[in-house]
Amino acid sequence: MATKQQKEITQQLTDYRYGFKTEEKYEFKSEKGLTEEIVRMISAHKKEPEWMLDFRLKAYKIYREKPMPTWGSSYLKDIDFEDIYYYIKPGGNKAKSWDDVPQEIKNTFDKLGVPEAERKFLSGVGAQFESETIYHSLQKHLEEKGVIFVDTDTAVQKYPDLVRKYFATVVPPRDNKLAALNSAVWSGGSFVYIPKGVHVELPLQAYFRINAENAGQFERTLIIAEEGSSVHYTEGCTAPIYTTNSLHSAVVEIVVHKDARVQYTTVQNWSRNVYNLVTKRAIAHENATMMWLDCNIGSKLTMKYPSIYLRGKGARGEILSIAMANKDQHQDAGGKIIHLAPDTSSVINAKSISLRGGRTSYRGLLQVAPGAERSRSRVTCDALLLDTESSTDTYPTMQIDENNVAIAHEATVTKISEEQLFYLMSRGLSEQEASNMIVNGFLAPLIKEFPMEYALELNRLIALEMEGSVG
Amino acid sequence: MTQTITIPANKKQLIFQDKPGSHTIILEPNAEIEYIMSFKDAPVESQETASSKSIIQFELKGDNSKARIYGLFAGKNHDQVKFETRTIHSGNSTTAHTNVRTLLRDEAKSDYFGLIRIEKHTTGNDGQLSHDTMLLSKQAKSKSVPALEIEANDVKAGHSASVGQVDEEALFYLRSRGLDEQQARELMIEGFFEEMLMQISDTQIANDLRESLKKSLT
Repeated sequence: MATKQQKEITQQLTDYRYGFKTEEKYEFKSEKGLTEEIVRMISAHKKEPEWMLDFRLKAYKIYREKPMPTWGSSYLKDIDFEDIYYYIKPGGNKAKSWDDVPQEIKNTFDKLGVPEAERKFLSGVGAQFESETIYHSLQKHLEEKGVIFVDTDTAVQKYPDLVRKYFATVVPPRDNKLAALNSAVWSGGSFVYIPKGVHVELPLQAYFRINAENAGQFERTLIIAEEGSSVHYTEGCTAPIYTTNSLHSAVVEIVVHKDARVQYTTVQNWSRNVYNLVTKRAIAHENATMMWLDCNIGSKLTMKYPSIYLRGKGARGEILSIAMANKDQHQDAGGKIIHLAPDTSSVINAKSISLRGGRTSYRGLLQVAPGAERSRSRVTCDALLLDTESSTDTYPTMQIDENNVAIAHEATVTKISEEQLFYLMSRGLSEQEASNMIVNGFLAPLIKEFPMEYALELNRLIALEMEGSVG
Repeated sequence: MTQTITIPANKKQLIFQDKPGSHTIILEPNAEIEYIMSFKDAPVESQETASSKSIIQFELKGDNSKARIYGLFAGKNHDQVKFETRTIHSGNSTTAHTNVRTLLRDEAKSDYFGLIRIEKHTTGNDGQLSHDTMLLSKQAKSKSVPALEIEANDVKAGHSASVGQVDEEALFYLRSRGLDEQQARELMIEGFFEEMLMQISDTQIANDLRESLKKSLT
């Protein structure tokens, strides 16, 4: 019986896996490649204020000067930055209510289950179609509380003071080449502002999609949680399969003020041709809590190391990371935590699965600056290798410049043991089912941290990835 | 310059490295090595003439070869130690266990990279590494990167690392037994290395090391 059920789920997932591609209609599409002219055009097209154009142009210069990173994946050199469209604006104006959303875009979202999810569960949906947010809804009570949840382009026009105060303060363009690129050509992304003492109980959610071949997505997300507030932001990515490579290079900046709490959840399931090179960073002030929950299943190459700067006394940081690398995939993920103040604490827990020749890498940094007394941290990395073709790496750097600390790190590499399989199969499960169950068990401690609907989707996706992996 | 030493099949050997320098040890089938390291880098005049890194590489080429690797490092004043161990499992059913302990006081610095590499199409390999660091002063600095590169799935591989200071609870316990703070602290610091010294098969080397570590700590 389990088999039949599983087959049905697998069938549904097979349909889902290959994504959807609705007919493309564009209001505006830039030429391939990047020049100063294109940067100016993007800014003019968005009718941006002078300061944002200046910022973009400075970032463009830095992008041209900076070399590509020489570390990381061997897939990096395959990216042809001149073969990418840097700005695409889909047809139709931004819609405030569901009725205004164009039918074909609606169809895509229907397949993803967004409206239903929204009705039942979500407090707001900001959906990114191509490089700009089309649809935004925010429940009334959030607006009344003073919560701002808009796309970042709108925020530049409507809340320039807030944007100017925080924009690029967490990830400056000089940080790395891809952050500079994003700063020059960014488009869309979410802007979230939670006023003092406000708690947003339901997760804020944004769906991202890439729909034009060779369309790079350079969204820019900025989240500010004022003193004593809390928010849970979730993003999920799906994308149709294409024949040529596309690039996704986002920047996410988060400022968590005193006593505030922010959780940022990602389910990344880009199609197998996407290069996903993302800079995500948060600053946690006094007694603040920041949590990154990061799950990477799709893409050809992901290089992403969510970071937390524990800047205020008593701040806490947590990074939970799941990575799954199938055939020809490289998930180079991890996390960075920098203890800059006394009494700060952190946890990194990373679990990875490699199968059919896939490669997972954990790359992490744990740093304790002089004076960050009584810092505590625990880093755990577990890798599961499902076959002899797959591989895994672990590169955790620990830089400790303060002696009154307690730091622990642990990493293990395992396979599915014959005994475990034998036991489960003796209870009537097929080898595939038994393997799925073991993998579920391996990931369970992290998956239970996801919102329920994500956890369900995740378990199904993993089952799909595992299909045919034994025997 | 790297010096290469081959341990022939079915032979056992013990090597004690007490000076910085790079070495490559090749293990043939059933060969066994017990490798003990304890050194610090030559003093550097300025930042520009930073000392070069000692790289000690173990190539477990022969099936069933074994390596037990111990590193004991104590630094004070402006002592520095920059080193790297690599255990590369290219044979089958090989074992390499690396244990490194570093104790730093004053403005001493340690920079360690420890790699376990298990090559493709091998089976039954076992690679473990642990690195524990005790920092006795605010100005001491430690960088540690325990790394894994695992290309086969029939393996036992893992590492652990810790950084901390003298355990306050253990200190309290010792003082409750009648030791004064100074004595209790010294005992704890000696105990940090003693666990490893006890495992060294050559008691003469272990005794000499115990004495020299003691000296470099006071």
